[in-house]
Amino acid sequence: MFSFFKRYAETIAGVDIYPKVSLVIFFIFFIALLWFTFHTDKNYIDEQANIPLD
Amino acid sequence: MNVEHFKYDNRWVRNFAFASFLWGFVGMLVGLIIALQLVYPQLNFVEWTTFGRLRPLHTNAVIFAFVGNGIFMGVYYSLQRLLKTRMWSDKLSAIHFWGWQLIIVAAAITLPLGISAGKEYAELEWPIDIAITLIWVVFGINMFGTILTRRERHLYVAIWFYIATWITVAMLHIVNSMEIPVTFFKSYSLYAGVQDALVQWWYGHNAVAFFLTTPYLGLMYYFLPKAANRPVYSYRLSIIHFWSLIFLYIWAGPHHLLYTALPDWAQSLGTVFSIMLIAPSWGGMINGLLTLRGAWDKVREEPVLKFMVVAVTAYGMATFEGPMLSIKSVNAISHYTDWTIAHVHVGALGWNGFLTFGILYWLLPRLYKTQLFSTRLANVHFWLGTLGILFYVIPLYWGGINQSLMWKQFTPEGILKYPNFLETVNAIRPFYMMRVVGGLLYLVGTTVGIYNLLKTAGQGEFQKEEEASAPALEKNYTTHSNEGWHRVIERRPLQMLVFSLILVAIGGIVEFVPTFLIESNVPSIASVKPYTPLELHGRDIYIREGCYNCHSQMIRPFRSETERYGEYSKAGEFVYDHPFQFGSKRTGPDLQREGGKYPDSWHFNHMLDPTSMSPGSIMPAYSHIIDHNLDTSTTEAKIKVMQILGVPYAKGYEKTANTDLETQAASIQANLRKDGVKVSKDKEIIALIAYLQRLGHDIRTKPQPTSDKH
Repeated sequence: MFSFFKRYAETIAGVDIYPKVSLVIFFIFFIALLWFTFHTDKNYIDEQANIPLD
Repeated sequence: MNVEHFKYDNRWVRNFAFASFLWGFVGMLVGLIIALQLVYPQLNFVEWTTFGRLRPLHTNAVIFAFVGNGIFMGVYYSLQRLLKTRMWSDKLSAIHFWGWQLIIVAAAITLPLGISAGKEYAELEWPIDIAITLIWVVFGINMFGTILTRRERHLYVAIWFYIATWITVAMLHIVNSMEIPVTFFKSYSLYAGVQDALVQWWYGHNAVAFFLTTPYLGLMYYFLPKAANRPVYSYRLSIIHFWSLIFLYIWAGPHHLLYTALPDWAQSLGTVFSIMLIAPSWGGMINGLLTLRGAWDKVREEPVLKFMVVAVTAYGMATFEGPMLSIKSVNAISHYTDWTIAHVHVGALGWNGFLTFGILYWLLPRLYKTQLFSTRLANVHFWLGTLGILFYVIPLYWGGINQSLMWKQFTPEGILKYPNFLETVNAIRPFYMMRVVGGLLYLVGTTVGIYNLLKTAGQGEFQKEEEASAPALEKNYTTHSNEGWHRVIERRPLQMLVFSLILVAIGGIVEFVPTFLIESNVPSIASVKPYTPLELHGRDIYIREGCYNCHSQMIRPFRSETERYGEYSKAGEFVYDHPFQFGSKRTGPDLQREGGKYPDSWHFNHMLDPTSMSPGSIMPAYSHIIDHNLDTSTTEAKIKVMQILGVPYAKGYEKTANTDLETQAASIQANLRKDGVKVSKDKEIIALIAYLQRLGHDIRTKPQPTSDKH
């Protein structure tokens, strides 16, 4: 079942691209998350926080 | 504005609540029994109640029955109220409830029978795996149906946690349960060795993350503000908490495999992400605790809040300890010991247990429109539970570290100070006994709690349907021109689902693809050969008896381990292991180099009565393996499945495999007879001995005096 995977094995050049890609994904993800979170309207945030208590 | 009237469905909330605490009691009781078995091995009684079979029952019952029903109780209650609508389909709710209970019953029957896939917390065999998938889909349809017919446009943060839970658990369960059936009750994992280990611990770690943590965080974000009657401390923090938690958690699985044969880069990835996890976890804990700002006076009087405060604190402790245990030098001490057991019980007893009971004490009086039967008894439960947790975990921390240090202790002459493994077991037996006391206190507390809850239900009147009203959702929603990205996604549950899936899939893909596809990650060893048919049967007996619950097959590259067990483990040794059997705990010694250490007759006598060969052993006796005949009718099917999985048995070998089996069995029988043991060659014990003698055989080298790698 897994023997056919092996054919692809050689075609992947170098594992070192993985950490680099992950670092970039991470960096962008967290900067974007923080940016959007802190640029959200305060009233809107309060509304959301009160949904369970309605 | 068009106000619509409708009814909340409390029936299934109530049923899940009862199922949760009743199964919880059963799961904890089994836990107490297996804790006692470690002190009094004679309590293993018959084959169906041996430690190796009951321990999976305990873990599965607590995770999937106690916490599982707790999740559904909380989701079914909060989802309706947060979305101002009834659960989408009463019929699906019923199928979900009864289906889940049937799965639990099936698990409670099959696990003691030894029907096991041999992977921790994923022991259930393939027919039950399929049932779990179907019922999980029913839950998903019911949840999404509810979300899509809601009367509240925005999805509160708790619901994001539910959505991420649903999609991630689905992914984990399906990927890890990939197996090829041999018979109705037996299958082999699609993956082998190191790859199987990586998939399993990606699953195992994220079962903790997405079954025991994210849904309960969703419950925390709903029930804690409800109980404290104030909004969550920072909704912004909860947004960051959610996205960073689900993004980071999925990568951390390899920290269960530090110093093993898993490629080093994957181990490092697991460590880095585990340490980063402190940030979102503590963000969540702080958010929970600070929700009580200005309400701490209430915590003194209100048992609900007491339970919740201890739960959130336990969450904080467990999520600090977890990353610490992921640091390689700490893990070198903690792994394979009771330290890990203590760690998970801070989470299970503290976080899951106490949050469940906090919610139950809040919920049941509301479902039954009455007051809690006794606040005093709830306080008694609280103190019994809190003391129970302390009496449980402290002895295990102590015992675990103590034993690990004994394993690593050398004399000034450079030989192991405690070469006899049993010496280190007997040193910590008093701690095992103290743990029993802690577990007992906790269970007594739970019993008091159940009594209190049943009395509360008895004195009230069940509100099966609850009247509610809310304006209908406008069809055409005009967006604000400057609304952020997150506001958009909060209105769109399906996009949220897809986005969550992408986030959790990234981590898995980055870890899996290189391990599966790059050959140099699992270097092959020419001398490693497939198991003989008899050994394969023996291995399946090993799995059936749950030997992996107490014995590892993974020697780490430390001098203390190579001295004790022999050459350290290589990735290439496990390429035919479907499933892998690395184990995660050494209640007994590692077995990877067991083959050839003792004569066949030693194993025979050891299985019959472990104390005859190892005085003071706490291993159960396995006389039933000596009594049972080996079922060789499945040999052909087993070899065939192995061939499909890529194990290089010669073409057509499945037809002649039983002949080889007979020959090997006869030679073991002859060996035994030489030592005065008379046994028929068609008994299971012969196959088990064949397997145990094979372990480590393929790369047998004398334990070399290695340089100290650590």
